[in-house]
Amino acid sequence: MADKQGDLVQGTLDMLILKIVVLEPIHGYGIAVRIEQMSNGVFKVNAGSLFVALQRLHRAGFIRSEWKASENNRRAKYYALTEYGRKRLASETRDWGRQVAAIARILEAS
Amino acid sequence: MSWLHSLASGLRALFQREQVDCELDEELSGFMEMATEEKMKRGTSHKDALREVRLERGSLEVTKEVVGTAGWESGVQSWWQDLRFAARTLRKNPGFAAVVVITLALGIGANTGIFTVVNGVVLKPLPYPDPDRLLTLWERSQSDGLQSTVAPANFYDWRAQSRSFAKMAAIDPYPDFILNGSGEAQRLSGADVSGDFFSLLGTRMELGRDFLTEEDRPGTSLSSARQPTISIEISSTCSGRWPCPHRRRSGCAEHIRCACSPA
Repeated sequence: MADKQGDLVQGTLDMLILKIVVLEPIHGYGIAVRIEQMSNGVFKVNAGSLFVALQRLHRAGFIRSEWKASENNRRAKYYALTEYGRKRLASETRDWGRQVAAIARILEAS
Repeated sequence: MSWLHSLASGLRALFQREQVDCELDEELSGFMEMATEEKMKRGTSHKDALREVRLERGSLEVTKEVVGTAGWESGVQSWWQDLRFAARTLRKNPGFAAVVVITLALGIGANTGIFTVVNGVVLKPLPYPDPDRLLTLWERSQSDGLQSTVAPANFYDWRAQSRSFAKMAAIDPYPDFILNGSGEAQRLSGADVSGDFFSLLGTRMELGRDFLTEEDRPGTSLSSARQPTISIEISSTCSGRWPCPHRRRSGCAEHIRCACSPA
């Protein structure tokens, strides 16, 4: 899908962040690592895109943030999903499923 | 709901800029440090780890710039900076600033002036009922083809014989009047009109009454009736003498007729 290996499909980063934040409150680096782990290293997240997306999601009210001590005792901003964000994740997941199925149908047609 | 959120955080970024910058700085450096530590745990030297992180994730400075300019408030910020820059430049070159201001003033003034004229003459309808049904009739001399004023006798004939017009009234807009009595005498602009002039234009009398039919006959002059019609604008300047119910309204369109006791 992507031109360069490791690039995300346009517009999917927000959805992936919501998906990761739904599990537990997590800081920015944690999100980046989790995306890489869960995609088996296919996706690599650049700090700029990640924090712009986090800012956008925060401003849209999908996530909330809180400064807390991290596992190795550093102050870090932890992000958690809001109720509104939970609804958004559900609807995005549904839409994504529909889109992927539609694209697959088109690609498989011969 | 979400735009309110965005507005609130944008405003916070605008007015608590230092704190917001500081938080972003701390968050991003934390991110980079964690990434570096992770690499060092796998045996990479500090220097190499830093370099690898910068390659993989982008540099701290660039990231800060990207995140800091992503919100709507950065547009406001750069607009404000541009404005201040423009103000400084203008202050440094007062001659240039003066030329700019004069150019703008002349441009705006000329446009406003032209619009005012066009609006008054072309766009704005006359302040009378059915303004598109109002016509001015003139006479044209057969010998030289020049337009001239209507002879009173012709006016009476037209009014009696024409069937194309619902009503016809005459006006001589040129005479001046002198207002005297008490205080300094004033020169007022006015007009001689036929008796049905105001009813033709649908002008309402604020006070008193319109001309009577018998006052419009030859031989009856206004001065003998001692009942001039004055516009509200005039009556407000000499309100001591004439009771005027609407002092602030001006313009000659609306007339009142006031009983004026001869001095």
